[in-house]
Amino acid sequence: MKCVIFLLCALLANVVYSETVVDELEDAKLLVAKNVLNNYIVEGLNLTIKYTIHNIGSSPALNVKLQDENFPAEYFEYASGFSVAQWARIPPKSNVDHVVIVSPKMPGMFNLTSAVVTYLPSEKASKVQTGYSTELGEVYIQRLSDYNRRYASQTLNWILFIIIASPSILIPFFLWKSSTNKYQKSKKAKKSN
Amino acid sequence: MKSIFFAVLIIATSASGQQCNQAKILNVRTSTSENSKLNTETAFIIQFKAQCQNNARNVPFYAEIDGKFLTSSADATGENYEISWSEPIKKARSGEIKVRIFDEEGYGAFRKAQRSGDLSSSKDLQTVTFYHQGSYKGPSVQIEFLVTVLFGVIFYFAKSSMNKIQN
Repeated sequence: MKCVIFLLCALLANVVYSETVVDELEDAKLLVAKNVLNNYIVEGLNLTIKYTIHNIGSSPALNVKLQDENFPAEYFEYASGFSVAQWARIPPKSNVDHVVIVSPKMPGMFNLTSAVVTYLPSEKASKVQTGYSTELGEVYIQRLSDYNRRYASQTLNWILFIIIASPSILIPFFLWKSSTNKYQKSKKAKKSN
Repeated sequence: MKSIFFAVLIIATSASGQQCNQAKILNVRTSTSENSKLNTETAFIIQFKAQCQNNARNVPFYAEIDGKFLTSSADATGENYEISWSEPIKKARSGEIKVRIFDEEGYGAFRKAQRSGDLSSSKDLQTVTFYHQGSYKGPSVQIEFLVTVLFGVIFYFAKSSMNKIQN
């Protein structure tokens, strides 16, 4: 019985040990996170996307090219940043950022898909590795008028409201004012008599 | 002999990680995302074009911002570069932001100078200063509050006059 338990423990230890040894990556491995830095996505207003590339391997990644076909020209306009970004070299155990600002041209449902990254995992490698970023799925691009109705400052609307509501307050006020003045005048005239 | 020498030269010049000799930085454009209601983080982007004497492309440039170091990314042509980062809105301070751009040599020299504590000798390629006017957080006083106060005052005036008349 003891023998069996000892053998089982040895086997388990061996499996665990070999897994931890394999964990150490020799070549470069790039993980790409694609984040949307917006609370709301609105037509005509800027949508900020941040790509973070982490190199979790022990070698530098060479000829890194990040390509995002998610924002074609008929639906989006690139306000800042490039849709294709390159880095000659990403050192091991480090990360780089790339921020892009686009502006949607049309409202509606839209699918945010992954960006593709291609790189050489080490200086001796000849085969290009491909990786995909995280994707965010479907998002709703609001109309600009809906967004302004809900979240924009309503100052102009309130000023217009005050202008429209003022007759119903000012007309009775002036009527009252003119009648009090007349009353006070006639009161003074009576007193003086 | 000549062919070997020529081949070595070709290999040397086509090696990845080319050095950019005497880089000239042109067309610097900065943009920031400024709406705090719309965005979760403030993003800063600096785009520029770099011309190297030896026509090297996709060369790394480094930027130093407040002690943080960032690497540049190049576009598909390799001539236009971008340095970008983002900060949480609460942390992003408004005002002047100074970004120093270095090429690889300058960056190495700067790091060495940092370690030795002598920062006066480090020279950057260009210092980009841009002004971030702070994220728009909405008006300081809500217009609805002002309108409520205004109509409250009118109501008080009308009620007090009415009471005076009735008594």
